Amino acid sequence: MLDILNLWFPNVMSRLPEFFDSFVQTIIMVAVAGLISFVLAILLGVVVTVTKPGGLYPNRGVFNVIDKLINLFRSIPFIILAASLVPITRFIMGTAIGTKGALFPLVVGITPFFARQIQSALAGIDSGLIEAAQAMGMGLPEIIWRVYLREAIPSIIRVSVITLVSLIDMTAVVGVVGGGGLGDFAIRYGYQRYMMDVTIATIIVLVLLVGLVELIGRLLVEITEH
Amino acid sequence: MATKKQTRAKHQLFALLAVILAVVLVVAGINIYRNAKAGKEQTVTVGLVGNSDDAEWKDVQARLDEEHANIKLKYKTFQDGIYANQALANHELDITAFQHYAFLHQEEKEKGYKFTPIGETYISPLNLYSQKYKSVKDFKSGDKVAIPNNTTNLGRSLKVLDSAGLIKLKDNTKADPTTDDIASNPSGIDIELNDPASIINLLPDYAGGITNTNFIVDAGKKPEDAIYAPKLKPGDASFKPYVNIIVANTSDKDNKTFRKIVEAYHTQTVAKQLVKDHNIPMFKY
Repeated sequence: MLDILNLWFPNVMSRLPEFFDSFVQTIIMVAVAGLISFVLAILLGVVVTVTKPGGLYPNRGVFNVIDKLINLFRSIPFIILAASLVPITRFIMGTAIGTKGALFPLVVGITPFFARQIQSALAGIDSGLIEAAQAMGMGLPEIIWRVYLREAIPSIIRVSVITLVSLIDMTAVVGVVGGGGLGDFAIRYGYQRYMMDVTIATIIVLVLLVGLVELIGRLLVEITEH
Repeated sequence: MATKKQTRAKHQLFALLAVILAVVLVVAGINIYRNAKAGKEQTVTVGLVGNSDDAEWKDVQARLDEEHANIKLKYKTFQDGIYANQALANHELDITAFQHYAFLHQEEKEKGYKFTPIGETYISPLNLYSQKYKSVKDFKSGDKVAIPNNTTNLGRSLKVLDSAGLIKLKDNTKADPTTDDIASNPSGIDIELNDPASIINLLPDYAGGITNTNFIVDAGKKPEDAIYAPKLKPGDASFKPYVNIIVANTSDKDNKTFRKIVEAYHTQTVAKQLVKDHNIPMFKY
């Protein structure tokens, strides 16, 4: 087994500690940025859904500002966003390099996408349910909590899986600011030093990681769907 | 009421989470163990770009260990020198070793950094390669030639094309010439800018290409395979801007630990490794 690995992935096996560290960095980036972004996206998604024209609590001003901001940030290519955020990242996180410095640009980069996904998950709620809840005299917070969020759980899980996979993809880009991670490892050795085995090993690990995220997502959907 | 399918999914999820938890614990354990082993050595963070100098830095660490200097070098590798310099200015790095004077001066001018070179390392040849032609005389009008897209290597590449006689620069001693500084183009070649790492793989699509030696070596070729190489003479003023250097913040320029690292670099072992990597050492050993 070890012999085969040494034969097929010589450049990975000779850099195993670094490969391992890169993997851990990717996991940390995806987990932490994903969690922070999830909370923000739920917040933004709910506000946009509720304040949109024809929503439960229409507010043209709030809706327009958030809606346009989401579009604005989604329009900035991530590599440029990550580079231009450096001074702000340094101010907020204390450093703009390493895994810690990568978290802020990742959150800013993925949240607008996540918010749009959550918004579309919430849009799938049957309007009859909302009307029934209103008829029962539920207040706005109660409808958001008990109808919108509770009913949309399987959809929210599905869109979260899509977002997490995009986030894994984005972690490769933050390598330019020294963020580390598997993507950075693949660029520095696989692309810049033409070590094909490094690229292949990275792809294998990332495919497994994406597969795992998809599997957990599927199981969660099965449990929560009714 | 939970269906059978849900119960099964629940069990699978729990099993999966248990496995993940176990893996996380092992990973955390390994990291704690490695940190504990790191001991009380003085850590110096070195900013590098790419990994082509890994062998040299391994030699430097070995030398420091031999001398019982108690210095542990920690490397932060960037894909782009611009961020490495930002991190150095912010003291997130102690020293950097990736740039030459030309890049340093350009960065200092643009960003107002207070850096000081604390040691010269090597000069890396920048040659013209081609899979199509054997000599610079073969280039025809309309042939595409790829050169690196970063300011300093672009300028240096134009000087290479100028000295090969393919183009004429208005002033070939200017610090960072751009394509606007081309006075005439007697060969009629089309100059295209590209990512230096990808030029090697794209060489079959170009009539010729210029890229940094580390990429040439990593691609399994030799700088001697070039169809044109400008003469590199140590001490030649026109190549001085392209001597690579170890750089520290000016406030750290007399730091004894950093001096020790430079001394450990300026050794025969490192020089031999540099020559093996087709670079020209720029220090006495």
